[in-house]
Amino acid sequence: MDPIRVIWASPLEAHIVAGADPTACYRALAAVDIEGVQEVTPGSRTVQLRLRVAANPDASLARAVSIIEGVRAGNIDQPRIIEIPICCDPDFAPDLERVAHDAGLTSDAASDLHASAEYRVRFLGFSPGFAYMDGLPTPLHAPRLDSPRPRVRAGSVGIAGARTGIYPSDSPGGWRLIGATPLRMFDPAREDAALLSPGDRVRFRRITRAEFDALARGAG
Amino acid sequence: MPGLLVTQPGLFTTVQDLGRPGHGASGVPPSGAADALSLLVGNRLLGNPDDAAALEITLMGPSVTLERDAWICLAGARCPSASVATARGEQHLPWCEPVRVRAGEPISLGSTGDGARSLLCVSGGLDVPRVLGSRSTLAGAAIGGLGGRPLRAGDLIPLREADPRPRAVPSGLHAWLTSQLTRRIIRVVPSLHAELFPPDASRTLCSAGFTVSEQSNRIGTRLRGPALPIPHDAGLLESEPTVTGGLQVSVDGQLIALGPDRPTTGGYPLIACVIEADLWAWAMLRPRERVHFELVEIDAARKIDREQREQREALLPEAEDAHAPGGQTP
Repeated sequence: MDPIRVIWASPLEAHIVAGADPTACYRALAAVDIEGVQEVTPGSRTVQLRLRVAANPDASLARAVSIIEGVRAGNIDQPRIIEIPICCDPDFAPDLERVAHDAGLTSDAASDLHASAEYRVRFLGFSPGFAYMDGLPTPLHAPRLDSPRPRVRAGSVGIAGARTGIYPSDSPGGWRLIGATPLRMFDPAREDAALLSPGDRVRFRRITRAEFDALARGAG
Repeated sequence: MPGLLVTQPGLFTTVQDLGRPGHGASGVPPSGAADALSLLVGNRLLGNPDDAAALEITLMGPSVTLERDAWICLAGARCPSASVATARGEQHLPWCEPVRVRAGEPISLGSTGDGARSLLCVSGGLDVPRVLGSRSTLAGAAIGGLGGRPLRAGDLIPLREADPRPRAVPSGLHAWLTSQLTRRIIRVVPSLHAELFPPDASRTLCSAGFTVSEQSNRIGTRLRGPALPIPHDAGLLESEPTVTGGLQVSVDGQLIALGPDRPTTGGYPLIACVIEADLWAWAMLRPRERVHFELVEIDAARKIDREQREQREALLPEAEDAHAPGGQTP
């Protein structure tokens, strides 16, 4: 395994290149209170530790590294499985036909393929509650749109590259939209504001437009 | 509950406190006052807790009226035409000094003057609900502050109960604060992807001058200047957690400095990061202003940051009872 590397991004923020899955490292680090660590944030290949100003950087990092060594040795927790209802009605899925066509599938078959996979949340970013999920079946891989839409509706489910994601709020967006969920992916009034956390396993369950509307009314 | 009434909102005025660090893993940036040093100073001069919420003002400030008597303190950029219309006539609102204002007296801030951002602190602080532990506004996600957005005319912001304990301005504070806020040579440390850049990149970063673009806000400050050479495999970089003050280099070699409302992850290479001690001067930079960078070693940066904190505490220590809700009996 590659050695663990530490790269400082700022005087208080260290990125650990763990030689192990950053998401699993994040879960292990976030599960304990490391003296001097204010915040742990996973990314694609690094985990960032933000230290408190009074921290002893060497001591905090040494503790973090020992936790990561545990992860490298196979000490990984069992994440939960979250089910996301998705409606692939054409109103919610403006890019579905094109994605399906490129995959040589009907829209319905493409939606079924998307819903057949189990995904894994790697990290959150871009906007509060936006989860980047790995596990997209290869036929559905698609590049981002050439230019982003100025407004993507909250709950829209998209595809970009080899990942799927769900827009938690109205925002501009360049991912290809293949459906929508009535769930609130980010609600700051909720105890867990973001519905998804790094490491979560996710499955999509197809629902009809009528079910979507009923769930949306309930959630509103 | 008596509040602060907004007559004119100003260009971009939001409720900010010291922010909500700790939620990066949910995609939530720290937000908070871009010039946290000035927020802290304004609050301490009023005897407020450090994290009492205030108005962060950008370039053109609001006009407001308070519905109860209060002490206020204007910090950050100086707002040279700031005034209060009292019974005795228009009184200039001094910088970084507690001022007693009566209910109903119109307060007009005007232009922020030589710096981009000011803070208007009020005794007790602004009473909007905490979201994820903070009253700071994240406008992009409609979180916090007053309805998650900048102020509008007609807004009424409740004020927290206060037992005001304004302090005399310590000798030396103004001079010291001015020296911290008017730096135009900004110290940076090498950041996450520094090693990937060709050596020319740091040389250009530290020799050229850069100009602040009008396309700047709390998410990031765009700079105009010579193009930096980017890593040849920059396109292969994936998204990593970002940092406030981080200098990202875009495909065309131009710099963007990330602000407190930054996206928490990003795929652009980070060449350097502004040291904490210079983030407040950074927050002062106005469009079309010119800035230079100076690269420092990380240990040197930590020393500079620590010294600034020590100087701040020496000049204006936190009051012992700043967190006691009832305050002391006069």
